[in-house]
Amino acid sequence: MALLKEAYETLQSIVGPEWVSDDPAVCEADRPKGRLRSKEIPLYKPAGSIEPITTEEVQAIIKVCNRYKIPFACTSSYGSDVWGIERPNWLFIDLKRMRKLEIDEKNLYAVVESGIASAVLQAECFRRNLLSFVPMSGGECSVLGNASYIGEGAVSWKLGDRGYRRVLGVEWVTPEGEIMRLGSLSMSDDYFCGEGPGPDLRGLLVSSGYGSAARKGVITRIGIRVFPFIKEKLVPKGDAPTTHLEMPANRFAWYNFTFPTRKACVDAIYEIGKCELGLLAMTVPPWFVSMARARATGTDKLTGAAGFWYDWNNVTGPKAKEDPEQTVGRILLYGIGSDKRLAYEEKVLVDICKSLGALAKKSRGLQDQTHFMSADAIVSNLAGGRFASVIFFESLDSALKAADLVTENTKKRVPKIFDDYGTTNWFVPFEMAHIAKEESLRFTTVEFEDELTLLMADCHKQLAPLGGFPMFPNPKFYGEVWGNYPEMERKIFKIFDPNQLAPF
Amino acid sequence: MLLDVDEYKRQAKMCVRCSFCKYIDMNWIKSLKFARQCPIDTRYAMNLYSAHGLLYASTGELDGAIPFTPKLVDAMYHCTLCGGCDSRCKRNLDCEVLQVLENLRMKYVEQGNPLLPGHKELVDNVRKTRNEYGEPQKVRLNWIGDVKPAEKADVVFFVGCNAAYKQPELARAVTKILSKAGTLFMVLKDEWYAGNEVLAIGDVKLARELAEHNVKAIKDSGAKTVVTGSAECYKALKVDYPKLLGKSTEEMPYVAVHIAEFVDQAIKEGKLTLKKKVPLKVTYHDACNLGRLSETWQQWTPKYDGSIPIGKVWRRGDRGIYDAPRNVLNAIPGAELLEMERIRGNAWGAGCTGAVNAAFPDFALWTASERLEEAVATGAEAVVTCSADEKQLLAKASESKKAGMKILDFAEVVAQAL
Repeated sequence: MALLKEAYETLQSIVGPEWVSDDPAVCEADRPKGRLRSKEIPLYKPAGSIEPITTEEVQAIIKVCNRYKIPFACTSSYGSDVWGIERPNWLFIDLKRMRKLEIDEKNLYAVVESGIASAVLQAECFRRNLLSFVPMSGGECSVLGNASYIGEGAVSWKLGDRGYRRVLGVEWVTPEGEIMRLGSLSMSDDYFCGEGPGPDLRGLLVSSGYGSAARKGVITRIGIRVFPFIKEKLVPKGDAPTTHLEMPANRFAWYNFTFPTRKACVDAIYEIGKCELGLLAMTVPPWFVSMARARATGTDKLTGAAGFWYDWNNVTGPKAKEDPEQTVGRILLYGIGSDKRLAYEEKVLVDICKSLGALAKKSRGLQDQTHFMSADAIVSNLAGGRFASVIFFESLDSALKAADLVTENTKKRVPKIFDDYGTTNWFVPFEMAHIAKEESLRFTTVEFEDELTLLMADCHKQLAPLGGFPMFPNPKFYGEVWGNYPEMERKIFKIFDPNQLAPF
Repeated sequence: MLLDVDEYKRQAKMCVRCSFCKYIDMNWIKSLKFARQCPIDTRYAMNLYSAHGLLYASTGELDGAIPFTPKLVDAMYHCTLCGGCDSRCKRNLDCEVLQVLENLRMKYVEQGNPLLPGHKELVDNVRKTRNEYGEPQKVRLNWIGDVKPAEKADVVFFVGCNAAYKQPELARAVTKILSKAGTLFMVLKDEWYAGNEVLAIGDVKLARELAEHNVKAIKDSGAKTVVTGSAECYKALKVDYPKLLGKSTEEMPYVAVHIAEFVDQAIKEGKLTLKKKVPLKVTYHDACNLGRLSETWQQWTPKYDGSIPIGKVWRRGDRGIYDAPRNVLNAIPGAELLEMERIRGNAWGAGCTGAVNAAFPDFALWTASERLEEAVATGAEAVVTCSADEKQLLAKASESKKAGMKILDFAEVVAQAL
């Protein structure tokens, strides 16, 4: 299907002919990945793609969509699949051109447009002795897109979980084409404060467990908190695939600690959280060890998938099979303020682990390959070409139950889904163990990708009684269990989107 | 095409559209300004103008969903084939991004589709005169002047069209270095164009013809080592020729050596000493053809055990020639090497690869200008590069921007220090 000629010409007049296209190749390039979607729901390529560069252009585009009843969906980094692709003849609003970034070092916030990638903000923060979040989905993810959806990163252990808690002033184009400015932005050209006169509508924009920011129209610019950081620099080293950041030894130390069961490790994490140690903490599933080792170089080594499977089948996998309950935790201790703080954290961590019958072992290297810039999110595809995560946010205790549930469901689908002996349940606690993400990564080949979709559907149905919320669930499964909240959302957003053109 | 259809499809479908192909290695990002890897994505910003867009379009074309539309052809040939996307993707995935992009062009040409005007001119020149400029073949050796190549030697100096016809001083700089190191060398009496751009256009048949001729000429000369000062010729000899002839690099009847490698080794062995001061702040531009594109080629017949390619040695861009030129520049008395942000495998291409300069000179110049801006930001007085083509384009960019930046070839700088 095609956009109406008149609509297309109007769109051209807004952004210029160079920045809008309905060419079949452009639409093919923008077709949804369609991954992890039920095959019952047809998916459509866009009928056209448009790339605005200002909020006013976005507004004009959305008004055209309303005039001609064109459904739309938007993204900037395309890190997740675009929502709203179940509707034919939709317009893809690509926000990549919107790349303004300003940082107020003194007052610790940045103003970013949609096209700014998380690793880019992090790099600019590092130059100013500041720290930002990079989501574990990858450093290429849009700061704005991620912060208004989930927004957690590895450093959420120390610096806070949900992205929206860091979102300040917001500039938002509603699905009807009205520009809303929230927080201090509503009064002046100032993004500093998220709260302003009138109701705080940020809660509407930032999503709970599913959907995307585009449901509410298009968020074009936000203020976002950044944090003080050390003066010493993290220095990039190496050639890909083994690049890393060298960290200063007077400020950082990696420690691992091993417990005989997941529960014991989780209990230790609770204790560590009480003492507010570290910048980031998480468990390390054995599968991750093989993935890291796959990143070898040289012609005399097995690399990539071959390297992964060699390690998993011969080294790491057999150990995991023999003792699937054994759980390794890893923490990056952080001498915030001074190296004396680091020495203190090391002492306390060792004491905690000792009291719980484990050894806290300091790692030799002081490198970070992935947590600060999230360079390795996509490596989960390495083993077979496809992966999916059943992700669940709740307390660490509930995360344990979620992990068991997903493991049981996975067994039914082995060997189409790779058998990891139930060990790839990744616990990533945040806010000093107040909340945790439990991410059960499951891996397969391109051929059996549908098994992942089915596994996720099975798990999502069963996770609801645990409370918390999952990521990417189908509202069909969750709505009823949670007071039909999708219906509540529809009623609210009908106020902003009477023509129902934004994704739902 | 050089990939069989099944392998082409498999690789094209591997893309998970993470957009890593658009940025330099995440750990190496230092600023907003110099974070991006891909020239077409940076300049044109429709997803089609990116590796993942082109891979999706490739699968669409393979599945019969779309033909080669003018827009697809435009996007496809604007890609510089610099290999940045390939190297970025291979940090985390086993996916032959660059091979898919190359094969898309080969398929286009194989189907008998019309070449872009600039490409047609280049191909016609090569067919008629065996060089990319359409200059007479008989004057190819005019650069020699009073240089005295040996009648017989273990080393052949492969000159390249640019040095032979346009910048003969670069050829003479290489010969000066070889002579100073006590290395006898021959030149081929009938050297043809190396063929990079012809292969980049997708004309496999002509590229193979050039490869067969040059390989035979080298073999007939009896030389075992081929030294070149051109990054483009280096990559052709080391990577493209074995690829076209169905061999691995180590199976070729010669070893290709770039002058940067030669000098680095000669200094270590005491055969060369850089004595004269060259008081200059320089920054080094990693030519893609000497860097991430120059890893040895391993011929491989697709065979899989599930998802594991059996016996495949991956080329991820980390084993390019990055250290040798730097070692040498650091050894030049008086010279100070200042690095750009995007270096080594993260280097921003200067616009001379992918036959882009032939078809879209404005875009090639824009790409070079972006690189020049990055060079200026270092505070250097000069850019040193190992590619004659990139030297020319960067010089043009410097002139058009009135940047006042000297652009020097590696061999020229070394020759000054001898």
